[in-house]
Amino acid sequence: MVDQLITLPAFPAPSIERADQVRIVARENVQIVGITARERETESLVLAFRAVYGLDLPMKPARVEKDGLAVVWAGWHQWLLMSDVAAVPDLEQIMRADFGGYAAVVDHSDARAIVAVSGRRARDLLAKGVSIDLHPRVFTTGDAAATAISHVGMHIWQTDEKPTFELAVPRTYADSLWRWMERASAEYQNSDSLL
Amino acid sequence: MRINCPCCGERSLDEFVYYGDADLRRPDPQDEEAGAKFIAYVYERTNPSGFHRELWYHGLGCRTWIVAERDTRTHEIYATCRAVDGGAPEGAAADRERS
Repeated sequence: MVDQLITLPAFPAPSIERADQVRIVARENVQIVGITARERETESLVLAFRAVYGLDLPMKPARVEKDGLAVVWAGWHQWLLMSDVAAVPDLEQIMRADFGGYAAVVDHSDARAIVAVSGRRARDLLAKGVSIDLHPRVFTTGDAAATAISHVGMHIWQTDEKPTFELAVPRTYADSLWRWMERASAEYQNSDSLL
Repeated sequence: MRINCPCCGERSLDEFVYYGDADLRRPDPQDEEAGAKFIAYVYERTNPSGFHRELWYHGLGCRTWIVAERDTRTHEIYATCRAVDGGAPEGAAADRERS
């Protein structure tokens, strides 16, 4: 329910700017709803979702988006759905009404925090804490993964070619991740630093 | 060691939790020798040198239970699959066919 959304920010600051190299932005006010297909209902769920939103629920680690609704693969027959609070009044209620028969629908808005990392050194920064390869040959816009950063479990996906990555972590770890981001990105604070 | 998760692809060992033998079968509590069978089920392991079917949990990833076929001497992994898909022990599959 929107009126129960945590109003305190998950992160201690709105952003971290590192010259023209890395930009780290707290993405507050995102509604996050998790859906898990019920047993033997995946096909019906996928068909219903396509009919209503014109989106195919990805069956592999990937992200799709249409009209302000983003879908990120989050495990076997599980997805995270995201939209801005301002754009959609109550995503969980809508999803439960539309797909409750095919899927377990749970509001994760209070459980997750999302941070966006972008800029030409974004991959270098993330490489310090992420064990999967984020090189553009193997991970690009539309790709997603469930993995960890600095020992914190997270979902990560790439939204554009700047590149911009978004990371969803448990909200209680948001502060810890932010401190890690501050220190790990400190070397990029001068725009003329040598590569 | 890297494990090929059927959902996520190849991942570092530190994303997984090891659970052990994938072919253990929980004994029937109504069995006359249930006590002895449960002791064997809980404590006795064969510690094979070579081929081993074992359970792994992708906890820092997609949270899927995986059965891996691994060589305990070389750590080579021959195959992985989701435990619910074909990872069931042969005994369990045979039980299902009988029922």
